[in-house]
Amino acid sequence: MKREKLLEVNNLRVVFSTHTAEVEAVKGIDFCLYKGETLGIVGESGAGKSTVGLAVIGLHAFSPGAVLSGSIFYDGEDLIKKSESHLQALRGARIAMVFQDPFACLNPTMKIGRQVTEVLRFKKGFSWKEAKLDAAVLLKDAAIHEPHRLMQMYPHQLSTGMLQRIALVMALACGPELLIADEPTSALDITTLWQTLEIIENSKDKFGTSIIFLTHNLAVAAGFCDRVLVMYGGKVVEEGPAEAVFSLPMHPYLRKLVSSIPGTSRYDRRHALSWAGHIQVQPTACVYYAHCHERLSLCQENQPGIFNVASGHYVSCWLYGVDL
Amino acid sequence: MNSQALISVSGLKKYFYFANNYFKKQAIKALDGVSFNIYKGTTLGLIGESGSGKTTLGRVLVRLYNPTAGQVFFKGKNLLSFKRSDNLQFARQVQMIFQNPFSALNPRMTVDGIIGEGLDIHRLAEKGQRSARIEYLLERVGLNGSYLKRYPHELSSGQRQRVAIARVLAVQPEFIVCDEPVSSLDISIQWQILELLIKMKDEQGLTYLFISHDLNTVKYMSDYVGVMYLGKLVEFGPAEKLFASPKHPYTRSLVNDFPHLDNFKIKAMEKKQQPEFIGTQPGATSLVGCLFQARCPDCRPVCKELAPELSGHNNEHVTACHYY
Amino acid sequence: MSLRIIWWRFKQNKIALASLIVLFVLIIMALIGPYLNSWGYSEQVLQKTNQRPGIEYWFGTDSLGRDLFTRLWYGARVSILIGIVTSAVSVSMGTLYGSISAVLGGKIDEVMMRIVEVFYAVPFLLYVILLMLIMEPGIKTIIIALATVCWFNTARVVRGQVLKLKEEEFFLAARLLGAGKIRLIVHHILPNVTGHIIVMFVVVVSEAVFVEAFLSFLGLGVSVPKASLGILAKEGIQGIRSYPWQLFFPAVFISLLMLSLNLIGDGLRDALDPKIAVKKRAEL
Repeated sequence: MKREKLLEVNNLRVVFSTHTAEVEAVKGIDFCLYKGETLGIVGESGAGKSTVGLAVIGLHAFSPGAVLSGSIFYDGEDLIKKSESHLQALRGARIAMVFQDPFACLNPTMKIGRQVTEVLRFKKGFSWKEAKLDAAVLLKDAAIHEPHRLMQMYPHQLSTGMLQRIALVMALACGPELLIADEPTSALDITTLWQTLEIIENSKDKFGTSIIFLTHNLAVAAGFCDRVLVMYGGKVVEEGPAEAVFSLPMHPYLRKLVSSIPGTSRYDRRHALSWAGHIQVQPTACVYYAHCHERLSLCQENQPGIFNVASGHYVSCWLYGVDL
Repeated sequence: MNSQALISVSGLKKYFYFANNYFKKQAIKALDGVSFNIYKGTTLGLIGESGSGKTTLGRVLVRLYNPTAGQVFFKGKNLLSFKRSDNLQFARQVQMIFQNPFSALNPRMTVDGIIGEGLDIHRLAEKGQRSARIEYLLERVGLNGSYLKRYPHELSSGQRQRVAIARVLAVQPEFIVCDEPVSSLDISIQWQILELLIKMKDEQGLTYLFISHDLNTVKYMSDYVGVMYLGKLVEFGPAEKLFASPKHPYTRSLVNDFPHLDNFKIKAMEKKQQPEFIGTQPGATSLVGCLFQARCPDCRPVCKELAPELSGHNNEHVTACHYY
Repeated sequence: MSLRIIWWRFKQNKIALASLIVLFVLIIMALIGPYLNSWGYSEQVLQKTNQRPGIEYWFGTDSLGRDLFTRLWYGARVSILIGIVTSAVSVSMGTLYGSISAVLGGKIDEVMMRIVEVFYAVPFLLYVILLMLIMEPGIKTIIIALATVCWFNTARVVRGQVLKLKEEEFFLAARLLGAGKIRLIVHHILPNVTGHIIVMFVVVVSEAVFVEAFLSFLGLGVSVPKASLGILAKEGIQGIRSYPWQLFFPAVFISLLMLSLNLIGDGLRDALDPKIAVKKRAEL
């Protein structure tokens, strides 16, 4: 069952230069996204997941100090080689992005209604009247009770959960092929979390939108994504179908992560108080070497390859190497 | 009852006023009649969405805010009748751990200055012993003397939170308000801090008020749990009972909706969408009757006329809902 | 932001850095300039009035036969001294006033800020002229007059910063530990407004130098035979047609000083504002 690939990332590296040093945020990752799929990228802060998301929509426009290498094939074109104006056109029509903080996408001095209708007018070429009607329908679809009253309000009058849904409605208004969602639910309360995810789900049904879902919340990734990449220190350490990855985690990092959530059945408090401690790590070592409880002498010298442990389930760890 | 409780709160109200115009003042009811007891050596967990007043409650208990009405007794003494001399004494007994490890430490002070501040104010260490004492405190929270001269920006977020805990422990308090102490930390650091808090509690017989929106951690940390909604306690009881059989529809929705790694089988899909109402923020509405009526799946006529009081068959597990 | 990072960000701004070097050179010259040749600042050689710049008199002489080179650096020294002292006094006053107002808060804050506004409303030149009439003209009087009008701005800026700091969690934590008002101000507020105070200091120096030059020019400032930049300009303008260099040198000096101070102030302001990205992104 080979599906069509929408996005293919090969050996992507991102280096930021700061006044003290050059930091390699993403250290060569490969992945692909199939059409209509929800791909979760899971990792803690510093894992490089946001950088990956930004790289796809043209990172160099956002931070001038970043240097990208590798390739990002989107629909057969390498985005890294494309000009900013090309990317701009792509961002407008085919790729959308939402962030953790919905205020980032909304103009605080403009009424909600105007902002939503403006998006519809520019992207779909609607007249004011059509756009206004369509906006109300879209908002209603997003489970917002009184869209007409809402459209008369300003962003600061609304809750974060409500704003995030409006940001999503705007991002998804004209059915993009790809939505990059950077921690869209992390600032939200539990009660609005699923409603927010449902807006994304609806867009999948309606337009076949593919989704890259960046999150640090394992449970949300497990419940919402088809496939997940687990990132650590700028590398992908595990990849596979969400169910397999979270029910049978393989990489020592992920195994520790799933056992580190208090109040769940897999919680193991012994690990909390015993950290491997900091040691000097050679640049050739595995990214997780310094914190790994199961490290081998081999891990210090060689970057682990990627090993297939089950159908579609890959782990980057020597423990699963064939000729160990 | 009052004589045993370390902290006893009755009818606590805190309104924040802001001027709509020069003549009218509008009140936001951050706390609207909250009563409960906290017993020595136990942890009370508080859960609720943002805007439910849980942070305000924590800050009233440590006297950062003065309540609008109601009483708070600490060891049988009324907090509001404190004199100047009592304040210093109180500061040694009641402390708070904050959410944001970035703003919780003064960026211009070194670790020893930060931890030593409490020692200096209360003259807890003689000159020769000050640094030994600080080093001892650092070791208790899992750091060591090499951190003494570092500035906060040289520490990771987990290390900062440890320093913040050491600062609090320096004055040997009896009661600590933990206001979302791990919410802004990575998962793999969260549990270390939680286990550290538990260790401190066991060793020193501390009492905690643990505020969080994360059900997992509250469940794990708490002996008793209070659920807050728009400034009111809607349910209160022993943690196990409350999580096993939540009574109030709000608690039920919180417990059921919470993304859980144990049973992550696509919850989003089973959920029937509930249209959301605009402006469920406290103070935005002057509702008659139960505050939860708009979102309650089984709202009855009586709910729109009469505000339910906290009640229950046994006094342990109480809820503010007409169904019970 | 630590001071190290602020300095790094400041260095990225080449214009500000160049201004800093210019300012440094000007200050050094003001310190050693008067001793570079044998003339004293009030030494008159009546046979040699209004000399052109040349080997004997590097910048020429004035109508009383005094060496302009020596007088210029001497005047610069007086002007810069007035600027720095005024700035130091008024910025400390403003900082103290602003932080006390913000820390005490409530009604006291309200009253203290209203007082500042009342002062603001008084026309400052009128006030300075009145003060000069009461006290005898001189360096001390100018400093007092300027210092008493320059601190309002600092007070306002500092108050705003402190109000922001008061909501920070580390401030609340210190309050919970039982820290007294003095401790809060000294340990938790002042170190965190240092950056803003430095900017205010530079801005007030440039303001004070300018106002002093202006007052001296009007004859309200430093009294002769002492020199200051304003006095030199005033004397220079009398012979502008025949001896333009008498005005040229002090004017250039004032312009350079003002320009470099303002550019440094701007550079510092940018370096302190984390929202402004400098050329390379700083690690914050």
